[in-house]
Amino acid sequence: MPADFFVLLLAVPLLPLAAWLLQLGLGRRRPRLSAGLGLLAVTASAAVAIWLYRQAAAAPVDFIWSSAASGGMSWNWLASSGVQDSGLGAFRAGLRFDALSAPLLLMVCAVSAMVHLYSTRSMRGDSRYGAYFAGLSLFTFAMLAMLVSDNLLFLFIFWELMGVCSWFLIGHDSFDRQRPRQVAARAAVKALLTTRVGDLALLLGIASLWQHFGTLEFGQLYQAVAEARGDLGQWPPWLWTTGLLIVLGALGKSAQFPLHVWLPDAMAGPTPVSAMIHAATMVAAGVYLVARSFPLFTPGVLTMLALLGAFSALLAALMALCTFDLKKVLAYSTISQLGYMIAAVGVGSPEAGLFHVFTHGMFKAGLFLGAGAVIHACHHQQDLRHLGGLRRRLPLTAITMLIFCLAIAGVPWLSGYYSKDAILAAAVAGTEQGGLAGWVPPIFLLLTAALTSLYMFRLYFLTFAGEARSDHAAAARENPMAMSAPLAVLALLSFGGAALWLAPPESAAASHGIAQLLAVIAALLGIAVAVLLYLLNWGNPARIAAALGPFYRAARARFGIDEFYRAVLVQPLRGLARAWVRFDRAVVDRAFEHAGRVALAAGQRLRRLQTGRIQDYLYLSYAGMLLAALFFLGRTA
Amino acid sequence: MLPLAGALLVALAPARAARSTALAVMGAHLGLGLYLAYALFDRSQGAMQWAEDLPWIPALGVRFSLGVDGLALILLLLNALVHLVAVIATRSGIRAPRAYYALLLLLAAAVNGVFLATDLFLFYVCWELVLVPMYFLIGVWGGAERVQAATKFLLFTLGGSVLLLIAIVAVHLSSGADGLEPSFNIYVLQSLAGNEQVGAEFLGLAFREWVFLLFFLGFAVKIPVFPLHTWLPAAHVQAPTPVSVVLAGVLLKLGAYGMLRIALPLAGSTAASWAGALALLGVVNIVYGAWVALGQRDFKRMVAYSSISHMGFFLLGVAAALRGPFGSAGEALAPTGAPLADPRYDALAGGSLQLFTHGLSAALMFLIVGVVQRRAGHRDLERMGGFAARMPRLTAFALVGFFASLGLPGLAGFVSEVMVIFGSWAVYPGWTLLSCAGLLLVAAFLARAFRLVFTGPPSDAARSMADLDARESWSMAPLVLLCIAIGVAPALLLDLLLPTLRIVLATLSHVVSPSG
Repeated sequence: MPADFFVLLLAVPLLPLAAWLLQLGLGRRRPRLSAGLGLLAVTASAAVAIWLYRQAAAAPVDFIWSSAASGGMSWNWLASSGVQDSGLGAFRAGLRFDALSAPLLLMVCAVSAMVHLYSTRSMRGDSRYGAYFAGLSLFTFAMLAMLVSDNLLFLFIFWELMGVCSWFLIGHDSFDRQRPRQVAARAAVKALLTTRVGDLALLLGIASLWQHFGTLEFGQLYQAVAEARGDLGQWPPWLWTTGLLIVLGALGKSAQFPLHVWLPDAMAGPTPVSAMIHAATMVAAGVYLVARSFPLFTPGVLTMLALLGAFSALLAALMALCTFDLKKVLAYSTISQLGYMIAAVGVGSPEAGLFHVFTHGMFKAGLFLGAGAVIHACHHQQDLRHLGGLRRRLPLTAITMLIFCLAIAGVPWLSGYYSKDAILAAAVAGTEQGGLAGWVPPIFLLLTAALTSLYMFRLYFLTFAGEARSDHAAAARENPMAMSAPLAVLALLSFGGAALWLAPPESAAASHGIAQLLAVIAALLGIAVAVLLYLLNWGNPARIAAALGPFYRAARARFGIDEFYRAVLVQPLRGLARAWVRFDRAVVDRAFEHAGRVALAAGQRLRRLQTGRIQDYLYLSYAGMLLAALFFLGRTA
Repeated sequence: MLPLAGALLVALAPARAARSTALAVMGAHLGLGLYLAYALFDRSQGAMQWAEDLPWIPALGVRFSLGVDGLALILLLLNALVHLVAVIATRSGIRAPRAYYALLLLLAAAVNGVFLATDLFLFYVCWELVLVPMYFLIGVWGGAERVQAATKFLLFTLGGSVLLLIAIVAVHLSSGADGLEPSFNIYVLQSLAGNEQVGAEFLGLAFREWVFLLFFLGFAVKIPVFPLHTWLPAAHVQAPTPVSVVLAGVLLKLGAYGMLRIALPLAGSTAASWAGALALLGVVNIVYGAWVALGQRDFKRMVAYSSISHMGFFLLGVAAALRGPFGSAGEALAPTGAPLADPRYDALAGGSLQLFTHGLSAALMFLIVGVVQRRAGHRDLERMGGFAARMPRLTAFALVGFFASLGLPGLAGFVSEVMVIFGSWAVYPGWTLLSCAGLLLVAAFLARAFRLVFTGPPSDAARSMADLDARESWSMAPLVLLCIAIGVAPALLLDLLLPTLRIVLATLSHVVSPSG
């Protein structure tokens, strides 16, 4: 590839970065201009991404364009070349572009542009309008830069940057000049710390790859692992731990069990931020990481991925079903859908996992922006029990939301259908290896598919069907164009977006048909139950909940996982911190003070001649020097 | 460099213009340092440059010898920068400005001397010279309990100095054992360090072990290493903001520099066998410091403990560098054909770089604490709030300070911590894992403090919430810019540092290999 190709590739992340730098200067004084700049930059990025995408589409499916391999654009980051040829000083970074990253770049740009456009209107009146858009720009930059990086260290750098952006944006309301919300600050800290557990594990994983292979570039890593396997005749044993550490990193970022607890709380951020986090950035990064690291994973690690992903998918779907907060249902659904993607990598199809990241990005962004539109129109009413009847009052929102719901449910010929189908096919193919690890993922994922369409249509019917159950819902009015247009665009993409995916995962022919059939049945079953319960009002959901008793209550309480962490980790850590403070004062410090007092008393008795403090020490020094001198003279003589 | 620093004192003659003179002198000082570093210094060489060697006290074999290598150079730059910032950050209307600025400049000169000295006696003189101005700066210009804090500082560091002195004299005398002229020169002594004949047993420990222990304890007080750290929070809490900035930004680095420059080359073989203990102490520093910081209500005390935590990474890096696989480095090839990473190298480079990056972030944090304390009228975290809404510029600077301290990529702290972790993971996976847990605690207390100070409703008790004035902004701006610059382009410093560290490592391998 010619060098100017990589200049363009570099421009995709750099445009939002440039916008961010300008916004830093402008943010407060010219908030409108700052918003415009952000939107402009990400639109320009999108345009470049489209051009790149067209190049990629014309190339064979397995192309890899690497700037380091083609002789240009590769940098020594930690030290200039020649200064050091071993250690991290020799580390080089470049750009990489292939059939996986091309559509993802496109998706991230598109979603980010839609979120920008939507926010120009929905965030109006916010006291920190400029700072908000600066945050969005940096967030977009970090994600795009991560996608074009050709090595794990730079991936990690932008990964961390995303963590901080999400902290900043989730906590947006806590910085408000008029009404700062402490809830948002706490949620932001929770997100930062929970994901940081995974981040540090990932860092150690990267460190051990570096230690063993001396490179972090993806292509070289794949090659090194293949060669190490060839030499040893088996997987290098240390690779198991390394894989585990990398997986932990992904679990944190992608909000998978057991590190999923931050995501539902992150709803404290503005709704478009949720759309960003849940669709284009942050959570997608975790899946991207495991998909990129796929060749490095031993079969044991893959099995664990598959099981954890499938378990998270089911767990979160159950929680979504028992939640009445509009945004939280969507949050749980994100955890659940990401479980699909993680499981896809686990069952051996990273392409299918990223395919789902791609389609999910579009309809989940739509769902959040749609939910935001509902909440905006209903004066911050987001309890499903107090909505209803909005299909007449918000017709455009209702129609687009219906499309997003159909897409996420996996109804045929919408984008979600293709990607979910690919994952299920891979999972069904995995049953050939038999055993628990073979059968659990497809069963859990199919169950989740049914539950997904059930809770999504529960959400849809409770929001849009029936009669308004509150004054706010009854008085809702359709939002302005800036907020509706992004919904329409995303709805369009949710229809046909799947066709844009470049690397269709190879389907195991036999299992594919079965998977397709089962997936459609599961989706329709879920929708049917939702229709019965929430549209036609056959049967009383409350009574069913009561009949489920403790199980329902457990799901409502997030299965007690948050409480568990609080009791087992957070409280003891805090308590011990206070204990250490006392220990430091009462024991460590006191011991020295006591020793000092004893010495002082002895000193006062010994010499009454001295008065000044500084002189004392000089005497002491000379005495010591004299003693030492005498002593060593005696020895060496 | 030193003549300049000496001239600083003379320049203090004008009475009212103390501040502007100090400012001009420190500005020139930093300018000269930068000029030396980036125009004159030969980066391809790791050895001492511009060595000067004059007889001083011939009767004792003491010579006035100076020299600069990459390690000394970056710390000189840090010293110049931090002192300049401290001068800027000093408020007008301070008591006895002439004495204050004179002491501050004297301190800068003494610190320069420590970094430049290649003669142990000269090193020791400068080392002691550092204490005097610091003692008075805390004791005269400090808070309510300043005298106690200053005395504590003095006693602790004096205790360390005495041990240091004994070690220096011992090494000096031992160098005369084979009929050679006894010497204080670091390099002469270093070349003798492998010679184990001197090593008679004393109280069950070999001579070199005593030397190492004494050096280590002497330097450990300054770093400070747990449990010798309690003077630090006390001193910080009482010290005025600019003095805290210098204390955290530069003084803590003296002990670390001494470890690298003196303790390791002179007692490398022993140091290697104590590496495990060093790693343990490093991790204790990291975890304990962060944990105590998490429990603090006093903002300044919390930042002081965060320094203890960060300096633990220096110890861990040094330990890993000592422990690393000797001999095999450079020969082993990764499957890709690239030279296999030498973990010792990363660990040592990270540890040394940590001195600089921590100097930046700690100085910045103490400036932030100073501003917050002045506005709020107290330092109690739980009674603060709402600074973000009223003071956007402070918040922007604080974001950089907090996240640099947290080790966010793109800011200075990340590079050094990652290098230490990469280096030590190969050698001490267990300790490294624990240090990462410590990093989590660091994130926890920083996030907590940020939340308490900056978000939420403004506290009613706050005296004033006026955003940063020019003096405050200008004191923070250089630190903020450098945090970002080094985070984005670490080669700026590592280019200077790495060749020197290669020599340090070679010395270590040389010292260590023969004795195993």
